[in-house]
Formats: sequence, structure tokens, C-alpha cells
Amino acid sequence: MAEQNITVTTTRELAELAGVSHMTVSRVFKQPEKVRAETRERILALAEECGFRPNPVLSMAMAIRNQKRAPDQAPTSTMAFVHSNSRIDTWHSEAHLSPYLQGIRERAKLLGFGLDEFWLNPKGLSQKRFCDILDARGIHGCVVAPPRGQLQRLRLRWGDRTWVTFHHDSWRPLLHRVAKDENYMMGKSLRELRRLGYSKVGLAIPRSLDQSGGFIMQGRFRVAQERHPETGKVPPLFYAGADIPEAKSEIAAWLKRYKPDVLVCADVRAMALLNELGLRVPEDIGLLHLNLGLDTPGWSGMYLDGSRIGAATVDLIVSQIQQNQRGIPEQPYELLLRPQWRRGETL
Amino acid sequence: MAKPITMQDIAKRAGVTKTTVSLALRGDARISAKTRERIEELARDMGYRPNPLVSSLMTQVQAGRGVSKGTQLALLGPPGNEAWAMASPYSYPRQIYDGLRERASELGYGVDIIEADPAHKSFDACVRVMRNRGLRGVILPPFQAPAHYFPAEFDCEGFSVVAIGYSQGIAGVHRVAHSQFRIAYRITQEVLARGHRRIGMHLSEEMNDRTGHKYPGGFLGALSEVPELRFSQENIFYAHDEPQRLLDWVKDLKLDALITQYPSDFHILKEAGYHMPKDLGFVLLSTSEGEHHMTGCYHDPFTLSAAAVDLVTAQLNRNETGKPRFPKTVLTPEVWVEGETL
Repeated sequence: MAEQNITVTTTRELAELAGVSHMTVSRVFKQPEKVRAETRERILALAEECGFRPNPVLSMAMAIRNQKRAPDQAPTSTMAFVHSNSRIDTWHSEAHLSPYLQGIRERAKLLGFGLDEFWLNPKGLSQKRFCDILDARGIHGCVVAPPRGQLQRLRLRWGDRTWVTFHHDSWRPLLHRVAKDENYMMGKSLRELRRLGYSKVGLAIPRSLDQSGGFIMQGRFRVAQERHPETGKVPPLFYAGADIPEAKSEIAAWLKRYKPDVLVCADVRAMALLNELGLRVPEDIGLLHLNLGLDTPGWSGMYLDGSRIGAATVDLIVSQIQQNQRGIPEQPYELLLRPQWRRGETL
Repeated sequence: MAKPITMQDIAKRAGVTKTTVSLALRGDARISAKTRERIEELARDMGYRPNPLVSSLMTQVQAGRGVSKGTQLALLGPPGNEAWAMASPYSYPRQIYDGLRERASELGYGVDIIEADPAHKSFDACVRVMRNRGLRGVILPPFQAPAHYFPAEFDCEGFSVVAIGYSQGIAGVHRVAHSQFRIAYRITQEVLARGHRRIGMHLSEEMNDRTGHKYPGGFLGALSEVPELRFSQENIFYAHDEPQRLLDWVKDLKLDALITQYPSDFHILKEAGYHMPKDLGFVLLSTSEGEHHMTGCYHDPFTLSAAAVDLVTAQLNRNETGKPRFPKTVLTPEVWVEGETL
């Protein structure tokens, strides 16, 4: 047959080959239920044979062109935000997490995208069903929220979509990722403490936090200790518990033994612990929080608005879509944002 | 319900053609600055919002048509830049250049080399050339810029700038680089896993300062995982071109493995009678194409270049120019190369 060597790129060409109207071919791909099963099968087989595949971007652009509504009322297309925690409300209700989702939603809206949320979870949506929905809704960009805790493996149909995650590197296969520049964060904090004349800098953070950041904080801290002996040699403490109350006795013993003149931490409960031990902040000991948030008003430390991470995630998805980069990235990018220094009353 | 605002609507209101609106919103130099500002303002007031998917479609259409005038990216650097295109296909600069061209052409752009030579013509003149040619996307390749190469008043106004690496001496721009911390961490872990316990690192001090101490950070971070090891600043050696001091340092510390930035260390040690890996494990922080007998991490220049083009065209698509309020750094992955030296 002649068709064997023909490559068909438009629905019009395909219609001509099949001897049907252009509208019929168009319906096969958009509203298959409106086409007789026999015709549908025949056209799909023919499409397969001539290497015809609908161009997702083109279809979307045409859909937008044909729509008559203003962008504020109807987004031109949709992105997915994928939850994976055991509770679906984590990214909505937790004060330190909600800015991420808010930043994603706002940036997506600004760029003409709506945002649909999905919940991948044994109790929620299966990975297969999720991909079916993405196909059905024509969703081409997905933000996969990081899971809490350990590294996890995703088995999705990656296909024609763009995937980006944020925060720590906890998905396999590796996806493009937006994260905080922790090397800068630690270097800048220690520079500021040196400038303020602290001479016994103590670092106490959960072991799990240092680990999920790839030990960057620990490495940068040790470099500063080696290069600036004037800031003392208090051995950093990486406590086993998830938070300060859990690691209370360990931290108290370490404070007593090494007597740092400033505590670098990542937990708001450090203040309560110091007070409990009879230490006044900042008179007896300075306090620096590496991850300032709504719960640390007036503290000194490093601040990175989660919504900036969220916005950068959306920008990365949109640029990948525009550059026609889809599926699992061969060379996953790690896009880093710098937190800002804030001087408060705790130093 | 109101229809979305189109370029046609703006054109009608402004009394110009749709093409003028399109060019003006892209910041094309063919439209006068005055008209451009007027149209940008009008677009803002009318609530015009470019559609990301249409831009994507246009990228495809443009790529299909090949390179058209006005969609070139500038590769900006000191004189000698021109030689990048002529160098051997296996050299690092040439691969950076080829990588830029390859990725740019996939996206429908071309690459123009712009040489800025402060000794002969002012930097301003180069900026003018870029403006006149309508070059808005600017990539700074990894060159060692002479001091004050970028004048303090160069604020990138009207340009989307991306630097490759940290060497150009310009702050506050978007950047693509290798993940130096992870590379040093990964190499050190591997060296430890193979039983070495007396490990040294040889670095360029100047480079280390510029890049924010990421190599020593990864090194010390990984070493502190082994509590019985005692390490200090002495385990990091900074001098370059001082072979005798290097040999003394290796000997004094009784090193059993060396992680280095300099491939030339291999020959210095070999001439001094070291058998690698028998006497000393030897790992390069960055191997290059011709040195695959040496163990280390390889950073593909093509990947770096692709990331730079992706980042700069993303800025252009979003019409973001000037120095960004929040600069971004994109890190690209490396691969482990198993040679014969560890």
C-alpha cells in the first residue's frame, strides 16, 4: 500500500487518506464517542501506520484560541499539584508549608494556568488512575510535592508531561528540583556571626535534616571552623530526634559541656529550651534560626519565603513546556534560591 | 463574558500594526524605545497576558523554520572568545560553544559571539552592538575575566543574562554550574569506601573563594561521617605550580589518596616515583575528555550549555531583563568515571 511510506503530520492529510471529512478525524481524537466504533478503529489504525500523533501543545493552543472566556474566569490550561503525604491537608494547613502551595497557585494563575490537586496515596488515588486523569484533562505540567521522610520511588507514565519537584531530593527517578541554597545559607549565617564577634558558635540540628540536605550544612560549617579558628571549635550536634523536645537531654548536655555563645538551630522550640535552662537570649546566648517563618517573629536568621520556591517551580515547568522538554529528564536540574539574612532581637 | 485581550486589541488602541505590538512586547530593537514603552504600558493597562502555550507553539514553529534574524543569543566575553568556535572539537571551550549552538538551534535561536575588549573599545560599545543587533539573551561562558572586566555600572538593563560557572567576576546574575559540593562529597565517600583513610585534597584557593568553599565542604562533610578520622585544614593543599611543596605535603601527611583539581598532579607524582593506585589513590574532581584513564567525576559541557540556553530563553519568554531581584543557580549532574587510578 502507498500509505506505508507516507508520513502524515496534519489531521487534514489523515482525513484525505482515510477518505473521511476533516471533522471526523478531529472527533476521533477529541470526542471519540461521537464517531462510529468501526470508523474510529480504522482511522486510529491508519494514524498509527503513518506515524501521526496529535501534537499536545498544538491541541492546547487551539483549544485556547477557540475559547471565548476571559483568562481570569477560565484558566487557559491546567497544572497538577501532587500530594503524597498521609494527610491531604498538609500543604494547606501547616503554617510553614502552605506558602509553597500558595506561591505555586499564584504564579500559575499569573501565567494563565489553573491548578488541580491530586493525592497519591494508598488510600487515595492509584498511580495508574492518576495518569489516566492527567491524560483525560490534558494536563502537561505536574508539581510533585516532596514526601515527608524517606526517599520514595514513583512509577508513573511520565510520557508527554513535564515534572518538577521542590525541596529535598527525595524522589526516584530524579526530577528537576527547586531548592534552597543551603551552602549559601550556612556560609552567610556564619559570616554574620563572625562580624558580630561571636567566638563559640554551636550548631545543633536534627541529623535527618542534615542528611536530607546531602550534608551540605555540616560540610559548610566544618569548612568555616577550619578557616576561622577564632569562632571556636564547638563540635556540631546532629541530634537523633525529630525535634528539640525529643532531643532535650542530649542538647542540654551538649550546651552544658561546650557552652557556645550562640546557638544555630532550625527549631522554634530552641527558645523554650534555653529559657528552661536559665539562659537568657541574647544576653547569655545568641540564637540564630536557619529557617525563619511566621512562628519566629523578631528572631535573627535566614529567611526564604516558601512562595518564592513555589513560583520558581511553576516557572521551571512553564519553561520546560515551552522548550518542549518532557518526560523524565536525562539531566535533572537543581535550581537553587538564596535565602536572605535577617537581623532580629535574638543576637 | 469578556474575551481575553489580544495583541490585535492592543494594536487597534495604539494605532499600530499587530506586528509592531508583537515586536514591542518582545523588546525587539527594531521598535523605538518610546513606542515600546507606550505599548508595554498599554498592554499592562488593558490586562494583556501572553499565553505560555502559544509561546511554546511559537517556539516549535520558529525551530521548524530555522534561525531567523532577531532571535540570536549573545555569547559575551573577552577577546579570544572568537577562538572558541575554532578550537579543537574535543577542547572544553569548543564543547561549551557547540553545546550552546546545538541547544539554541533546537529552540529556534542562533548564537552570536560578541567580544568585549576593554583595552580597545569601551564596554559600552559592546552593549550598543548587542542592542542594535537586537540581542537580548546574553550568555557569559566560563572565562577568566580580567579584573573589572564588567564595569560596575553594567546593570544588565534590557538583557537577560546567564553566567556559566563562577569565573566571570559578575555578581547577581542567574547562573548554571556543576554541583561542586555533591561532587566532592561523592568522591570522598567513594575513596573512603575503598579503604583509604589518609586523604588529601588539592585545590585552587582563588577558585575555592569564588565558588563558596563547596569542594572543601563536601570533603569535610563526608570525612566527618567517619568519627575516628581526625582531619584539619592541613588536609587541604592550596598552592599551584609548586611541585616540590606538593610532594612534601603528600609525604609529610603520609597520604594514601589524593583528590585534586589538577590533572598535572598525576605526572608530578608519577615522576617522583609514585605508582598510582598502588602507592596512592588518585581522583580528579573534574576529568576531561582526554583523561579517561584517570578516575574522577566528569561534567559534560554540553549539559551545562543546554542548561544555560534553557535558563536564558526562559527569561526571554517571560520578558525578564536586568539584574534579577532573586538570582537563581541551576546545578547540572555529573557522572562518575572509573579510570585506572583509584
